[in-house]
Amino acid sequence: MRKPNEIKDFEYRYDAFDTGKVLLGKKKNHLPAMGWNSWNAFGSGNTEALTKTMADKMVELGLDKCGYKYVVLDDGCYLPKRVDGLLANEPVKFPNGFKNLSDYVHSKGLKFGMYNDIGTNLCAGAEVGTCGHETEDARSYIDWGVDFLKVDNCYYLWDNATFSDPKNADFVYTPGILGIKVTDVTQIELPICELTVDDAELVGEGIKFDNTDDGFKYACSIGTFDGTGPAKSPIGAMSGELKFTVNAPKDGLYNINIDCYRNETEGIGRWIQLAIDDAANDSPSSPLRRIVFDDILEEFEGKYTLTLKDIPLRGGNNQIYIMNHRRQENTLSSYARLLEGLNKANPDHDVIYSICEWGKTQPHCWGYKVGDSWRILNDITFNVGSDGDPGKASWSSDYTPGVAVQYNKCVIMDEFCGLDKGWNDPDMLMIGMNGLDNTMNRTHMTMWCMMNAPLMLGLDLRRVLKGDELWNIIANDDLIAVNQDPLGIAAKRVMVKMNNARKIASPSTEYITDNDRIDVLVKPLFNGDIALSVINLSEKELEMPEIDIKTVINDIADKIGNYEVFTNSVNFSIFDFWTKKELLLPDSVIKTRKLLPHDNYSVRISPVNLKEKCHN
Amino acid sequence: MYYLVERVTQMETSLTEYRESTNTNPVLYIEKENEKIRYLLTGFADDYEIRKKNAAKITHVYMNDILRISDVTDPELLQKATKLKDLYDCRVCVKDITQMYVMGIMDAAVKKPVLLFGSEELFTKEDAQRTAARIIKYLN
Repeated sequence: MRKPNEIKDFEYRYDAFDTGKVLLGKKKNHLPAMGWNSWNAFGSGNTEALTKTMADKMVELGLDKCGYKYVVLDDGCYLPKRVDGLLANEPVKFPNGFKNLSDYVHSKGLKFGMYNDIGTNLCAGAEVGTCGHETEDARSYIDWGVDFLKVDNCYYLWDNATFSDPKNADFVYTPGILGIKVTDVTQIELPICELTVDDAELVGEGIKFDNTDDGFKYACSIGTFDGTGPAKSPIGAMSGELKFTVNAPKDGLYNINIDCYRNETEGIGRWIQLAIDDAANDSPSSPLRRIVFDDILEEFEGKYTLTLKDIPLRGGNNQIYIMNHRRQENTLSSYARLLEGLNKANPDHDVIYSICEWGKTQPHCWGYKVGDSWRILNDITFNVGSDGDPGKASWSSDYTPGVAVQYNKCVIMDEFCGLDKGWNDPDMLMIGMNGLDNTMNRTHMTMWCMMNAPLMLGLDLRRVLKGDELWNIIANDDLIAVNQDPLGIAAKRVMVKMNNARKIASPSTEYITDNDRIDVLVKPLFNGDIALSVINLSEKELEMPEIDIKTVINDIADKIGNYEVFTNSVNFSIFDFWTKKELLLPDSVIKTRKLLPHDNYSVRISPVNLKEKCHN
Repeated sequence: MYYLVERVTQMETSLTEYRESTNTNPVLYIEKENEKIRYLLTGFADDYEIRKKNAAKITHVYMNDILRISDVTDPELLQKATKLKDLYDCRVCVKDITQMYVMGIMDAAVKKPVLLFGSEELFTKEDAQRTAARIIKYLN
């Protein structure tokens, strides 16, 4: 039976997600990537000719000067099967091959990007995923001069759990757990404890309970929740564990029996991790948990007892955890394998690595170890364009399509990104697609710039003229400067005004999906200024709140170098990113005003006329 | 699936020629078109092992590009497809499954306890025949 590799390096473990350690020498300190990606514009119908035209347009429109530099081929560019084990170009659409196209893009002073997948197939079906081919594919990419790789998560062998087939959950959930029994190996007939799930402490979130056919209570959904959809907050626990406290009479070897239950329902799989933290609870420097079992059980239905023999326990309290973090660990390991391949092919490479696993395994917790950005949700649109059809975008929806849906999650994820980590990716820009008016487009651009999201254009650039409305949005260099600010700190949401007057206690971390509101974001900038954006997400005209600059900067006080300068400034200079008008505030208060539906008021704020004491 | 899309493209050539020659006889055109639909759908179900999600894609492309049938745009109708619990399992098929479902060309495979399109199920010859019949009904 095929199963994921053993994880030997602690740094790939769930318990190491917060160590801050970047793996495999992945280069960091990249600002959010900017460029053009073929998917939203042309779907699988992109061609070499179209790509060259887009590269030409990027230069002709001066977008390269604005910072857009990557030209990325998305899905639909490969031959559907490998040739002699290698990736090959689809010959009708890309007749001259990828190296030729890469050379063309580079000749324009731009950079070249491509797409693949950690699974066996690409999302559009071609059987050329990198799974098992990481080394040779990485070699191809280096040979083709690839500067940017977007890597998807379709047909992934270890995490294809879907709603439609609960059996696919084998690798990502434990079986149902009824309880554990621990015996001293020298006295196996006399258990030192028999514990049911009612005796377990629940760690994290998501664990559910049910009863077997004969009435025994079991715990299930022990694994990592699927973050592909917008249902749950990215803040807080992403998984659940059962924690049993076992008091061992003395140091020694023990057998641990885990009573399992399995049927074909959601949240029940076959992979178990058992970890022991045998430090005494009162130890201030508790050592990391040691994993004593990490494997899949044989096929079974109904009840089954897994016996782990000769497990060392310490005298006194031992914490025994039953969990399954493989959904995250496997995905990290698979993305790492392709990075290893790139390192092997060119140890000095600096390929920008865009992790596109749609937030499924909460990559904001681990993506920084190997990647430069990580998608946070499923796609922003499923109605992509084609040559002659701009495709369709939406402001919001019940699922992941929509500017506001992606924004609502991303806006509270600022603490997960940074120059030393990488960037939350709320997917490619939809500016220029049908369904968004220019007000929405402006706000879309503002949001992505404030959140330090990658700025990947997704429109047919032949539809843009220098100086027209679309161009003025995508080439807004003042806003792009905010996105590309060298300080590299994403905006924090500091205030929310709900139209229904509901109070929001923690604007920076509360996951809000009701769009009938106004958000206020603040972002520190390298030169000591701040960017401030007031966003009306509602389809109604709303009145923005009065904003005292000296108050809102309190929430980013630890991130700006000149906090005192701000607090001591008598008044402030305000530069509007969209009207390009500058004005001097007589004090620190931005007065209330009406904001049109989906509109934003976004400014750069500089302190001026400092109080005397600040000059001393 | 690529081969099937190619086959659709090949058919487009012959149908374009046919359209030109039968421009003045819509009845004949429709009849001939029906024949092509049957041939295409039952043909690919015979020759290839195809999943329902891919059948949705091919059929949608065929209806859009060859039969020139416009997509459903009514938001209320489109909303019905979001009740399919497996709609988003195949990210590149969402649009196609949505259209086929709301047009009534393809049904949900499972209706209880939850509504499932059954994207991974094999698309059989019987499915193809049913689909062809539905397209003809939709055309008429």
